Amino acid sequence: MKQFTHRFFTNVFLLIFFLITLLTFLSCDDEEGKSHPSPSIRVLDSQEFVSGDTTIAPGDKFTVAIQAEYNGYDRLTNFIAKLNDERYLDLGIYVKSYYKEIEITKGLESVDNWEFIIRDIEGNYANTFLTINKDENIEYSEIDEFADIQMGAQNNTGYGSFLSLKDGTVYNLEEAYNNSAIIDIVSYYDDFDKLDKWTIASPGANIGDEPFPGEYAISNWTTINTTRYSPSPLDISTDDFDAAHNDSLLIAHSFAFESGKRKAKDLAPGDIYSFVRGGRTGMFKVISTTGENSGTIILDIKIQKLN
Amino acid sequence: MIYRKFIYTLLFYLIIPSFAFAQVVLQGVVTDSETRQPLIGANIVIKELNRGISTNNQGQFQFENVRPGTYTLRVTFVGYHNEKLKIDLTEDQKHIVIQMNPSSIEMEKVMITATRTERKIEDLAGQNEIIEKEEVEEFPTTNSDDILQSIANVNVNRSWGIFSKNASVTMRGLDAAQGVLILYNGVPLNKTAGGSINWHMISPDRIERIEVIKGPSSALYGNNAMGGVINIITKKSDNQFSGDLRAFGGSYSTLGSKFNVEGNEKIKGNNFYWGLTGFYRQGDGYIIEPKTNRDSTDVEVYLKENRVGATMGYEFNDQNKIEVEYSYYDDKRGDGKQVYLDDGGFVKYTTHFVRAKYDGQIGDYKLQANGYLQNEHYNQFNEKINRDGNYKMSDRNQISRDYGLRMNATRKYGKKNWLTFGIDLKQGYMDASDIFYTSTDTLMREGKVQSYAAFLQDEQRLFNDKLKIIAGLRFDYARFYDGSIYVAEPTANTGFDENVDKDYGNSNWTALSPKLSLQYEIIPEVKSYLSASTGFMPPKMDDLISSRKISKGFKKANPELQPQSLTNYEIGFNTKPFNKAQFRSAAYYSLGKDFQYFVATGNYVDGQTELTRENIAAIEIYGAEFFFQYDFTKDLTLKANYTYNSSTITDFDVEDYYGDDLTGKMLVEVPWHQAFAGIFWRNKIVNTTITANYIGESYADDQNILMIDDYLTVDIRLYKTIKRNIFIALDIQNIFDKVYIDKKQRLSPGRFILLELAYKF
Repeated sequence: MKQFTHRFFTNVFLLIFFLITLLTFLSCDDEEGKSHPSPSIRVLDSQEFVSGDTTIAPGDKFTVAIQAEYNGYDRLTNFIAKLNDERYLDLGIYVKSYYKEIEITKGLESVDNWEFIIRDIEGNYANTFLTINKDENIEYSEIDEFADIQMGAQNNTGYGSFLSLKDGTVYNLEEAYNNSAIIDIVSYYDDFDKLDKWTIASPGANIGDEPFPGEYAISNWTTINTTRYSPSPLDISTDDFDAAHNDSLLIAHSFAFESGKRKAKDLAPGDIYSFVRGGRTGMFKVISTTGENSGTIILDIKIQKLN
Repeated sequence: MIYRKFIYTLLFYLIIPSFAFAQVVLQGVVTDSETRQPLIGANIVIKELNRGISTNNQGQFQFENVRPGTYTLRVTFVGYHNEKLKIDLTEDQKHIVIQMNPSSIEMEKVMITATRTERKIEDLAGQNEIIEKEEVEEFPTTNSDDILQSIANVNVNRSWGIFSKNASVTMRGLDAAQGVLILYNGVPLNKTAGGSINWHMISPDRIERIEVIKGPSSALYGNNAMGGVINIITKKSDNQFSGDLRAFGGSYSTLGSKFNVEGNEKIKGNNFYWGLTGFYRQGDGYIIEPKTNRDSTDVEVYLKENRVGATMGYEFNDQNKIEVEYSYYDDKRGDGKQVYLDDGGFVKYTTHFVRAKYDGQIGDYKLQANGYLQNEHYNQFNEKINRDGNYKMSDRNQISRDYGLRMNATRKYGKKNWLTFGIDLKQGYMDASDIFYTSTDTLMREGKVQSYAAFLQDEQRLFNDKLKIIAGLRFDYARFYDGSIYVAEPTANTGFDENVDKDYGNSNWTALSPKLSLQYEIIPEVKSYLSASTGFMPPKMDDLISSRKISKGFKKANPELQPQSLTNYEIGFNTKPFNKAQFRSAAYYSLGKDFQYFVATGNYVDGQTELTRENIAAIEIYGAEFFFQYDFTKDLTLKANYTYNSSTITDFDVEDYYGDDLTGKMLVEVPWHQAFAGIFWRNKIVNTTITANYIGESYADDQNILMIDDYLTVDIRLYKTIKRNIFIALDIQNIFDKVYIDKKQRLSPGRFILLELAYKF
């Protein structure tokens, strides 16, 4: 009886072995998804927004409002704004309905061809277009210029690490804590996180408390401002930078705030970055870097004046 | 797919009625020959009937319904010499007393991996170790790689515990990029795509033993054996029918169950054995982000996994047998981030594994052939808010497929000379795609590697077996081909400037790996050895074909990469200084060349430094390891080991590139000091294991700026078998709740408790 029972289990094993293998070999691929219609997108028409082709002067700001809807099945995952076929804004989303106001500064090109694209998770997309012509009656605006701004890394006791673009004043940590509403730029030497070395960022750049710890740490500030930077050094010469005394060069290198980076990293003398802070476009040039986390960095800064 | 075309062996069905004959009872007791104490859990097998049993708490056993006749009993128990005795069973009830002689656990063990033939570990030059299944059961183990931490100079990095998607195992001063060859019943698990192993595929309950060879072993095993070789050998059932059902639960809402069923019977007079195993585990996990860095998107790293496997074998006679195995593994592990989707970001593996093995003897040649196929589908789904505050969602799917054939033959020439030779053939394939839902990027890449190798080894014993010489040589040739990359509508997410549709040119590499070792027996209790060996690590497919963004910048593929190589010189002593004690020591010096590192090309991609992997560095490693074991009694053992490693980059040829010169820097994640100590106590009340593992400081980055702190963890295992069928175990890993931060600035889980209940039949 015991021998029979044992052979029964052997047979059961063999059957299971066969079935497992058979099922694996015959397992079906996932079905292809059924095709769904495309999402929809439109430019909203309102007094406060630009909704149709128009003419605007360089440096002038205008707002475009976009409304997109999903197809009833697949969520919207990507909104793209292209200017003359170059990506101006590229955002990740996960929504059924999407509303976006885009504040744009008119550049130097004669014609700006805008394309606004909405994509869903299945890759279906819809787009709409807008043309902005340049008003040839140009009058560029004045800029603030701050030369030889000396800032310290986090352990520097002689020079502060916190700059206000209101007047180019540099503050130490305690002073910045007490004046957080006007602090726009932070300098430090990254030898503790991603090892990005000399870095220019801002209070809202998620630096963490490690470089500036304690009672006056940024996480304890009342106001935390964010400045965003171009993704890489600009391809312009230091002579061109030095020769700019109105905002034409700044406008030419402006970018959508959300598409900018929170930090300009691994800085070296001669690097020129553009930045956007509070609706104003600016640029900085690295004059020199000295030392590491107790060292100093010297910058020239130019920024559109406050209106 | 190829595995779909794999031919399944025919099923064996025999329906033979069993007839009742006159039956007798065979009973007895197994005792220690010195102390006369009963041995609990000793295994007794009636060879001719393929029936097995274990002794109870009084050391007693009883076979019922045995036909009268002459039988061979085989008795085994850890810590004792195996016993074999013939008995004549008449129609009377038979009672026998079996006395077993204690043995030194380590030195009597036999291993295959070191020479591809069966050899006593004490006869092998080198610091080789074996972990038997009884030792696996004694160890607090939640994953198969846990037990490797007890081995000197083996570093297991599994910083999130069971929630880690995998573990990296390194040896002797090498970092995770220069791996160890992992064999599973003699077939390689290292994937051509990235060299990594999915340790979760291997069930610790199925382990018969683990054989560890430390030091470069490419003379026999070729690629990936630069640090050493670990061979995991699974059980083959000796019992007619047995198994167990288990349930467990513990920290972080971990729950699971497993079963093992195995059997053994005669078919056409020959032995047929089989085994079926299943496993399921889930857990809610914990948050891996340190509290100071957490935001609303940080969630627990959950897990859900299952595994099934089946093995069967047929022994044509004492010398010829075949074995086949199939296993399936599937898991899903959260990555700790969740923004919009219910499951958040996760990593998922689905793996099919098939192997077939033949062991045989034809004339004077002992043969072994292994065929294998491993097909892994890796899916990594990411959703997160990046550092610039933008939402990103992407999906990576990667198919890695490796299949091959390994064959070797051994022949004895004269009385003391063995020649082993063989071939290894392997095909590796990778096909990967990255789809970005929150941008227009599409990135695809694929490639293949074929490798061929032949090896030869001669083993000679001289001067009355006092001197043992092993010389080996292996030639490897590998060809990379059909590599390609396709990029469509790229953005800053992938970092490409424009569409790409490119085929890589073919490339190839060769490696010649010699080895020479000498072991001399000074006195029977003291053996010394010298060895010189080489190992190499081929380029990973991912580095050959994948251009993409990584945390350090933008990685550019380099299809011209060549293997890394290491030459090791070693001296050691293995001794039995006094009764019941063992002491082993070794000192080694290694020189590595063509080690791969990322270097900057001088270009920037979307503000990120463009990097490429190049064979650029020479390294120097020196170190020492010490192992001590003392058996207070057969039930109480102390083990301890200590290792020291210094691994330095001695040359960094950065002349044609940009970036830091790393000459003089130390390798990353290689602790200078490591130590292990463990007490293993088997007793009638509750079996107890206490282990302590110390991992010293190491550098976290190539520039040697950031340090990973040292830490000490203490684990406890309490386990007991009740009434032969019920088993209960309590594991407390990291009892003092030491939380440490890993290289990626993530938290370890701290104390982990697991309670397991099993029914054995």
